Amino acid sequence: MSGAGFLLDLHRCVGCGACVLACRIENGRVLATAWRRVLPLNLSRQPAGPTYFLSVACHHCEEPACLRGCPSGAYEQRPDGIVVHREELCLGCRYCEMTCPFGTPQFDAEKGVMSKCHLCAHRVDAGLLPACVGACPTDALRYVPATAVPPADTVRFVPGFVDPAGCQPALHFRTPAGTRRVELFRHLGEALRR
Amino acid sequence: MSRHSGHGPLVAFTSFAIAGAGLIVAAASLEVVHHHLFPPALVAGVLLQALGLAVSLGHLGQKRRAAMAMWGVGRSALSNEVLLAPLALACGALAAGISLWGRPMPALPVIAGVVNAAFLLSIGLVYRVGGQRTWQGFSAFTPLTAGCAFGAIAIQALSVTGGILGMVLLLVVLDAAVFVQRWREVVAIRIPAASLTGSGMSHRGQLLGARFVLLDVLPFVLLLAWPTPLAAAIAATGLWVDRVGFYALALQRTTEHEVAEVEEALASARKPHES
Repeated sequence: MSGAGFLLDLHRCVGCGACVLACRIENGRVLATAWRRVLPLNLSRQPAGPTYFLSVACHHCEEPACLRGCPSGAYEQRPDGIVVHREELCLGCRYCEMTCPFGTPQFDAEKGVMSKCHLCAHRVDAGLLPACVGACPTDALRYVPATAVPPADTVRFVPGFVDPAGCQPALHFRTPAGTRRVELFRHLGEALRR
Repeated sequence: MSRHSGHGPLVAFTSFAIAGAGLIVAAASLEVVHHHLFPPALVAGVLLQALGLAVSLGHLGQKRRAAMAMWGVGRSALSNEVLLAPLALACGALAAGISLWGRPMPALPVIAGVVNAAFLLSIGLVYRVGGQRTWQGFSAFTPLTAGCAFGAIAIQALSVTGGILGMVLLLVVLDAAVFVQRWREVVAIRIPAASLTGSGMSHRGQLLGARFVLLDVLPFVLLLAWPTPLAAAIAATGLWVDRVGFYALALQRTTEHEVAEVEEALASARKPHES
């Protein structure tokens, strides 16, 4: 069991970008840099090759590097594990941008402060799903509450989620293998050879 | 850091601050080793540090909140640096002021030197973050060694008394030894070709080589021949190249980079099967 976070089912994500759009609308970031992004993982680097989509935002790590490094204490970890950024305390020094190994915090040039996904804490507190999760048409993106035990067929680390800073991201994946602790890299490599 | 823009104030801040603190540390070393105080080095060091601190504000998105950067002392490496910066400046200013007053107190420059050395080390530790591949290992010590080498070169080049070539050699060799280790670490990093596009990493050999020659080789060779201010100017250029290169070589382990690596690894693993 870890703090609240996301679960991404790589079987189901079709890379439609509805989550990115929903996040933008919910958080008033229509023109600003998006907090969520969808990365295609095209294993063969060919148009017809097997492609998976990684929909990623802040991973609300158990040991957040942004929080550890922030000189002014602008980051706060709630009891449910959600890492929130308090704009009013931010210096705009961008140190969190350097320390986060997942490229999560974004600099808002207009306000002169950093910003990042807060897992729609206001919606979660009201008993709703995060906007991105609610908008996902294939149910690929899910919300895992802090009290829930992630499904047994999920893994926490797949390619693209090396954790060099020891942050322990609260992001769970259901990989195409669907097998616990089977690395996506190896599985997809085998799939490619078949 | 791959998407990070606006490194100008950081390059300027660290260049001025490292040069200033390095001068103070070198002046303190001169006092300890040769019992010779060179007040102009202390004054120049303080002025450069003050300039660096002023420039550093340009990096902040919210300049009025600058003082809040100390709230994380003990937890955040950046806060530790922010705490040490004015302390180092104050100690340097006190030592410079007293020495100019004509009643030198040998302990003051030494204390200023120790505090400034700690400040230089704190600059290096700010950038020791897990997600940055090229800021690991010996990179944390280069601000300290580069600052000291620059300070010693500048004092030898500008001092009318001179005669500290042995100390200069020691500090330059120390910096060269540390920097060569960093050079080796950076060169050893394997980077996917896709990540090299638009990155300073594609010019890493030139950047690291230029820094090494300009700060560790040329000034000392010049000083061997005769004390000339040109050596100090070249060393200052080397220090600036060091800082430009440091930020230009930033390589963050973002998810995008990892994905590119996986794709490339799989693509290369697939080739033997195809042939």
